[in-house]
Amino acid sequence: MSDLPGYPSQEGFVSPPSLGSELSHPLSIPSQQGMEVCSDSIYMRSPVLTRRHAGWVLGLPAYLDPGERRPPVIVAVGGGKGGVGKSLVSANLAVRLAATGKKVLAIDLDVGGANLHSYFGLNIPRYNLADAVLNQSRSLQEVIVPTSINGVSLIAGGREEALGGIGAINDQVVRSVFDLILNAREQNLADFVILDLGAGAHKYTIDFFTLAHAGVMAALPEPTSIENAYVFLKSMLFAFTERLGTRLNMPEAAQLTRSILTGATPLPPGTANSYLEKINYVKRTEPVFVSQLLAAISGRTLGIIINQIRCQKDIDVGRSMETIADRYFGFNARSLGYLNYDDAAWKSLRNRRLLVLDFPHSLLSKRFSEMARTLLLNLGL
Amino acid sequence: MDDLTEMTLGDSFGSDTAVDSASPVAQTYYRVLDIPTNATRLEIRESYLRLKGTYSAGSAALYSLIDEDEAARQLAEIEAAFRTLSDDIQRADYDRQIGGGDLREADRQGAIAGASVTPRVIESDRYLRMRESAASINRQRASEQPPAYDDATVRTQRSTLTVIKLKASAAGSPVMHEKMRDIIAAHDVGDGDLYRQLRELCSVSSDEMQERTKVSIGHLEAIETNRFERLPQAVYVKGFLASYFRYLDVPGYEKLMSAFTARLLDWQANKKS
Repeated sequence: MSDLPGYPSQEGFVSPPSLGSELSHPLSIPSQQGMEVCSDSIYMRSPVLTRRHAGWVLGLPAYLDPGERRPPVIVAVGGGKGGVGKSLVSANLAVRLAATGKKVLAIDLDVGGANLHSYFGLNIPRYNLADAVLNQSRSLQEVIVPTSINGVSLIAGGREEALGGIGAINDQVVRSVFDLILNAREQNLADFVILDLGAGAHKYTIDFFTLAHAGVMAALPEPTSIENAYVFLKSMLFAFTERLGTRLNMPEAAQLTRSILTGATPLPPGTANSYLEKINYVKRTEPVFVSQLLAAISGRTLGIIINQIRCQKDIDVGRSMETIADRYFGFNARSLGYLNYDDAAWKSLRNRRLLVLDFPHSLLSKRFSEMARTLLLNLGL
Repeated sequence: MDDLTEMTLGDSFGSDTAVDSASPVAQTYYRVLDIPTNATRLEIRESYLRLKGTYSAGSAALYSLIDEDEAARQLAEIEAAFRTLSDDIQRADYDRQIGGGDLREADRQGAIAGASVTPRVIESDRYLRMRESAASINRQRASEQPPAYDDATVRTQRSTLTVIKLKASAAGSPVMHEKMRDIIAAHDVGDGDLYRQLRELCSVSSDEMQERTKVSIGHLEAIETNRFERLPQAVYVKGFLASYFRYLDVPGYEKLMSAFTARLLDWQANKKS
């Protein structure tokens, strides 16, 4: 395949396709060949990320603490349901972000169903995440594999025999992954880290998702997918509540918030219809806890992507979900765009090439450019 | 990061109004539409259309989260909020009721004195919005007059006031007329830059002007920067200017209109010869 003209061989780097003049972000930096040093201040340069830093730290799993270390910009792609295009989005978004001249590291965290390498057209890499975080037998540099795109590297997901399914994940593994991400920044290996998550709203999937500054939710314009997406958001609210209970040592407040959110403690009729109003209701008795909880919730950006759209109504679902996530859950939700239902998606996968490289002029490819641009704008970059 | 913590703590400790934010009375129309109290008409309209789409029957995004009754109730609130806020007179009344009238005027004055266009914040910042709504609740409590509009009064008011909708929110007051006269007296009446100043005096953005007058942004910019080569025949430009000045309610605008058209005609004649 690598003999075909225009197709990147795995040995030689190609520059990432440019975002196109009409789409290029005003602040984007042209891709530089052979970057040696990560721009030191990419995180600090964003007023949004700097302002939200405290909230972001508050919402992290209680056993994690970045300390004084500045993380790379972390983007997690999840969404509750399987087959909605999480890996597709992760891989192609990584390429588009790299087109702005930043180093991007994609990490496959789909435990038990890891296949992000296939989207990059790579064979199963020799070393993977499990070697770095579980066995600790390989160093960070050894498990990072370069992809055919300049500036994009990958850590493949743990193989089944090594990681033993989701049951093998514990707090220690999440902490190791978090350290790995922070080390990647410290060692100038990444400005952006993209986490490709598995389906479902499992505790550790939520933990990984909330590591991110920007959580991207992929969904289909179908009831099943939308329902799962909301379950995902609810799980996040519960996770934040529980974590803050531990972090601030206020278990009673967390318990109260939890019982009001679940409806176990009924409120007077007509007072609160949304989760956000319910949380605000708790403010009467627990003002400190609630203000910190709201800070944690709004310490992150929530991006929404609707995949496989076939008509205008499907596009509108993205905007509507943005409104709902904002009004009902209190997230900083933003619709990042949509992906058309397009044969290019499965064709490129069968060709074992990246979509944006295989069909650079397809509608999908353009959507990914817009998506990356919107994401950067929302992160203040 | 300290700012953030302080801000949130300040919100909860500084006033006990935030405690009441879950009570139904606290829902101002501005909060229903998720807009600041100084939102432009365009912002109101955009927000309304977005929310209406979200809560309309058959909206897929409501699935499993919001039942039909709740959606219908929300939709009714949104419609009521838009009915009031999209009408300038009703909006002014409503602002007085919730005690926000002076604030809106203050915002306007600030906008005029400072930068002509307030830079838009890219991210949706919930904190600012929550503070905004807390402030409006404060004002509402201070005035202790809950908004009382029954449908009948709304309908009568609407029928008599449709004409007013053709004017910018800030236009039409004697104070504004006085200011406009001062500006006009100090400038060449055929100069597009003067028109820009008048527009900014009313804190009307180019977008709002385009939306209201249906003159394209390109033509509006060409007029305001005197770029005659980008303008069509004088007869069309005359029409553009008429809508433009009527929207701002500029006193004695015929003088300005004919001066600009005369300049344009001159330029076009020179070009031909």
